[in-house]
Amino acid sequence: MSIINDFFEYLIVVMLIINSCLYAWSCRTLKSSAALNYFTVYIIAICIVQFAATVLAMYEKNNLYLSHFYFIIQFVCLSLFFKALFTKTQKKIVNFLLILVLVLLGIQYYTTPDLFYQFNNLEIFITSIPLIVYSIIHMYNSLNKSPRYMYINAGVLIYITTSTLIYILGNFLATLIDNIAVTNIWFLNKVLYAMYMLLIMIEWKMIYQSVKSKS
Amino acid sequence: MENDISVSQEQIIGALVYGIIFLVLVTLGLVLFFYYSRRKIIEKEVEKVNIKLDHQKKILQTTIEVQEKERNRIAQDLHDAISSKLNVVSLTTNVLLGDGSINTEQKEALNHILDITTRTLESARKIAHELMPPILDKFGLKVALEELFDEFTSNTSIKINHNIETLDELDKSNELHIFRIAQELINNALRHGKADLLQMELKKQSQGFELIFKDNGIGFDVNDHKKKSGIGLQNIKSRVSILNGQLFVESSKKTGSIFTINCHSYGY
Repeated sequence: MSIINDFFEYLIVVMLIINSCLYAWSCRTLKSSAALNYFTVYIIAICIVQFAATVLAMYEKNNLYLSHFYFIIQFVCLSLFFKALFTKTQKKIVNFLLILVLVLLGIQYYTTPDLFYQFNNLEIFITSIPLIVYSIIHMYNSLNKSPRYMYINAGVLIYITTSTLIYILGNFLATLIDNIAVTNIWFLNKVLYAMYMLLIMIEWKMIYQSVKSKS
Repeated sequence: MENDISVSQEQIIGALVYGIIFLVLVTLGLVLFFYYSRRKIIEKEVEKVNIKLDHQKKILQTTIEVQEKERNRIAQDLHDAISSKLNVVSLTTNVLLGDGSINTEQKEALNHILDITTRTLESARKIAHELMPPILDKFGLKVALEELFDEFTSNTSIKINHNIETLDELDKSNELHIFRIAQELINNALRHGKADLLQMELKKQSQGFELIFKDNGIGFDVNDHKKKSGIGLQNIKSRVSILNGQLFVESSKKTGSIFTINCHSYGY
């Protein structure tokens, strides 16, 4: 079990690096849209955070505070990604929520800086729920149009919804380090994350093929 | 006591696993729901567009049918009402010319009338023939097409190689459509393609027939024409669809244009 667990741990890092390279390459060489640019920034930033977390874990140092960077980067980049795909009114809602969430988190960290060294449930909740809503809005928008970034969207919806539940209970699970069932839950999270990365990879292939066929 | 806490922890973790699986299924269901709804909506839209296109096609086909009927009527009227009357005028003038009592001036005037009447008769005959080639009705498609090629090649440097097989199963109105298609193809090749060597083949197939037309002209952009075809090509397309056939066009500057019409039946 521990071999499979480690395999997924490294698989995620490798997939993140591959995806970052693929998206960075398409951004530079292909005529990319604003949404794709935001997504590329997201995947590269997440790759750096994940890489740092893996390195810290290897040296057995605390890497939990990196989760805050992960959630905030994810929220900001994916909000901008969806904003680029939305209609005028929907864009206004994204702007409003982006500012509201960042201000709320700023106030919270200013008043209780200790939260930085554990899972912050409010942070997890308010940075994930808007993304799930955006994802559903994007699917609704795509009903009568040619779909754009549907694989990324499906990945965001499935992974972020499930991982939110896991992370919200993160503090509770962190108290039970030696429990096998808890290890299984984190393993499940890794499997879902690998699937999310796979969907992102498929999306890249679709983008690449459509650009190729056009040229 | 410690045991109790551990059991309740186990229960919470168990509930969490089910919660995760539940969320995966719900979100997956949501994605699939949107995917299939989208497909359904698009199917409906495609259906709507197809109905619209079918309607337009029917209108075009009816226009062509009405046009042919009207041409036939005008040709008939030209023959019955004008040509026959002009023949009477011509005959009467000839009778008068034979009369010895008329003077030179009158004779000249009568000759003038005869000349104009003959030319008008010739024009009326030509117009009627163009409107509805009588040879098609009397001798069939093969002879009519050969006469059409002769018309284009006589007194010009244009050459038309042809191989026309007789299609017995074809009815009169469909023969006329093929004749019009050939006429239009030759006209286009000469007028727009500036071609001087044409080739037409009409071959019988096990089911239906195949018409292949080639020219050595300057060609045209097929993709551009697909979006915005001229009246000539549109007319050919409509006639092909009346014949229940398929039209394939290939064109390039080097090889000229090739039109292939495949019909697996003899029209509707």
